[in-house]
Amino acid sequence: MSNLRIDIASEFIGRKAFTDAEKATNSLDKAVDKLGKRLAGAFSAYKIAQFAKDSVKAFAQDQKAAAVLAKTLENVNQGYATDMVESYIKKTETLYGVLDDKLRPAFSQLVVATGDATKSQALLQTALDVSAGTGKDLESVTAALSKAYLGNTTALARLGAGLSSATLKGKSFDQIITLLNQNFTGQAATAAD
Amino acid sequence: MAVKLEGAIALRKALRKFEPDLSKEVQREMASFLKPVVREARGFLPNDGSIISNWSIKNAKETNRFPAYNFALAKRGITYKTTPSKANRRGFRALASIFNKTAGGAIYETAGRKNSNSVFVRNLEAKYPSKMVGKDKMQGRAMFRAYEENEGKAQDGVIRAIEKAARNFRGATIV
Repeated sequence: MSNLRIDIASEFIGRKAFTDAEKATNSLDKAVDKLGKRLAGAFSAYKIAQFAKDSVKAFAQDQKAAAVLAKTLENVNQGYATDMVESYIKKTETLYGVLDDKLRPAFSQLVVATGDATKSQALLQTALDVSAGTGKDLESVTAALSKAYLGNTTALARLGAGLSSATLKGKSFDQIITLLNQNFTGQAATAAD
Repeated sequence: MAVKLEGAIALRKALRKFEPDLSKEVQREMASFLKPVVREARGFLPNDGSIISNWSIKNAKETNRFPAYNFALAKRGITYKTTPSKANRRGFRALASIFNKTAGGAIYETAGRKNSNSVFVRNLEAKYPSKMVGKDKMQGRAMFRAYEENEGKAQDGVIRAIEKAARNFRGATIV
């Protein structure tokens, strides 16, 4: 069986002889105590640098993404909603375990299409449910919804959300959203549990 | 690359023995950081209609030795584990891992690492545009991409969860 894996954190336990020797000399308390004392030392210099670099990079990118979203909102005359949108994104991130890195571009895409922050919030909720229900990434679902809002439902039909081109043809956007909400409501919350 | 910790396995044993609730809590907390990566990775997989037609299980010949791809199986094959693994040959035990277990999923993940211009890779990408992300052995289209795009948040979260458990355990056991 193929087995690609990413080890997030690991511990060196040594070869068997070393482990046995360690077992004989180390008590449990000592080992537990060691974790606290040595955690700082556990990261090699390279790892600390890498870790710090990654954190700084992630923070800078978060800031940049927030600024991009604020600018988008301003451009579509929804600048007044920036704080509300940021708080909504933070809340959604905690609630559904979807990273803000994904939520901001998704929201941005929706608000550009709809020109309305409130409508975009409702659509993002639908997108999260559909994404969790179909297993498609949020980016694809949001793109399909934005296109559908502008009248192009082809991408939506390809999502595998149970909507065929024939079904979509005779329906308005609001009807499509109602249908999606019926089929997928609560999926994001279930997936987050 | 995995962050190397010391005492975490002993801590886990101690937690299970003396503070089982805390042990479960740390598992849950670690899982909450790994789940988004897994979910994201699953989202990058193409469905059965978006892959090269003869690679799908439906069309694969029984005599084929090349593993077929099945979306449902590949999706299920991307998963996580928050319990320590067996020691590898170099003596390391993983405390938390993310897997891409199926052969089809692994092929989709890694195709093009060595030869990005092969006929298979060209056809694969023509049918379902994807992006290889990462470097060397950490390069891939689904799991590795999701992990890379997570920017270390999962790793950070797992380490913090272990640190927190160690703190709470010390707090709970000091008389």
